[in-house]
Amino acid sequence: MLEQIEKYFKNELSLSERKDFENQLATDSELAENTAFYLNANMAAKTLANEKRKAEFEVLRKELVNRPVRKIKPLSWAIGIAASILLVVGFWWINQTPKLNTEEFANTYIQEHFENLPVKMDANADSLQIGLRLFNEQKLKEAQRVFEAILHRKNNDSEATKYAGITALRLAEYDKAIIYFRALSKQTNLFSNPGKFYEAITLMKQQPANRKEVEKLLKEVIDNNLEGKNEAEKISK
Amino acid sequence: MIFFGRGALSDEAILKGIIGDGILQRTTENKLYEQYFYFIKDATFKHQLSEDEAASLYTDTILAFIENVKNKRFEGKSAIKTYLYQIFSNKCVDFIRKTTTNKMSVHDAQPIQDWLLAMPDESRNMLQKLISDNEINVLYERIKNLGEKCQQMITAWGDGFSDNEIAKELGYQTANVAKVSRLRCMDKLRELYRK
Repeated sequence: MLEQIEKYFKNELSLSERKDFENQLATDSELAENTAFYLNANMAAKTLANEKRKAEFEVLRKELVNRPVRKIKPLSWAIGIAASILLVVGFWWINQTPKLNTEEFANTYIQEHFENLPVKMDANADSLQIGLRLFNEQKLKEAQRVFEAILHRKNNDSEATKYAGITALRLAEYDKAIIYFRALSKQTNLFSNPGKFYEAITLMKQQPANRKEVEKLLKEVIDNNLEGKNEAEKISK
Repeated sequence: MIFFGRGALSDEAILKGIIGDGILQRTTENKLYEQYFYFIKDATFKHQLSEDEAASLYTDTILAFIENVKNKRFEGKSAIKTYLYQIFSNKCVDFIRKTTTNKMSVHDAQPIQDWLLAMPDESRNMLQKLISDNEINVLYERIKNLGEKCQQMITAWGDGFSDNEIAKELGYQTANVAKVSRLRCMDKLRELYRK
């Protein structure tokens, strides 16, 4: 029934089907209730989406407020000449490198994908699930301890390796994250392996960014059809 | 050209980005937020608002603009900066006059009104009686009780994402698979709602 209601609002019904729907709506209380449910649910979902977005903007605001402001010293001849040279070099550099802002991409990707990790609602409380729950509660250090303890027992556990890497990335422990993601990408028995793509995301966060290495990794992800290929293609265009 | 350097985004790039999919959309929105961030400081001087009040109104402005772009209500008759400033100023003035507050604008009924307007009078009147803030608030709480994946799907649907975009974002193989899963989630939501 919900599918039919959705088709009505998305204008996917023929003229006669539309007419039938409207006639039925006038007499069928169940259809009317379900239609109201559909509309109310859409509003509720929209409110939730807006709140989530507002919270993300608030995080961004704090970052912008705390961003250091450069102080401009009085100009002198020497600074003027140096600035001119920098301009020329900068112009050359811009033309030599892809016009992408990798750190912004990485920030958005992390915000979108690594804020909350999927937890099995009905699973027994195994260590991995405990780690994931701690992660989602933003208890990152505790989550890291759990994932690393799993790896201590079983050092080739791909899920624990992945989540240990993501947690290290969230904690800004980039060198550690890279070690985990490299270990993950070496595992050849996985159906889908995001190791290389996640390593690229981590490198985007490191300052100064190693653009060549990022580009190389993204190319590998695309060429080998690895997980993250769609995103890699977008940023590489 | 998908991503951009450190400079300001052109109006064209902003409009393309907002109707783009997934991460491009989010990055463009963040960049837009950053681009006119100084409006907040202006409002603290001009309207004597606190930084937090001005920031909240600015966020509402950006969200309203994004909504208007997605629903094709922004016609591009003025520059984005002018348009945003107009919305922001109106929100500041409204806020000062206390005719609206942030909390009152939580439920933006515009999309539903658009849908209802396309209906015959009889159906519209009947549905309007069944739509209420109270029901929306109950559903809002019920969505939070759904599993993680269902929450993500339903929130993305509420945010105006197509099934194709949801499939890409949440890792479903096709738009159709995402649609079936989303409708199942809505069935679950309905069950919770009726309890």
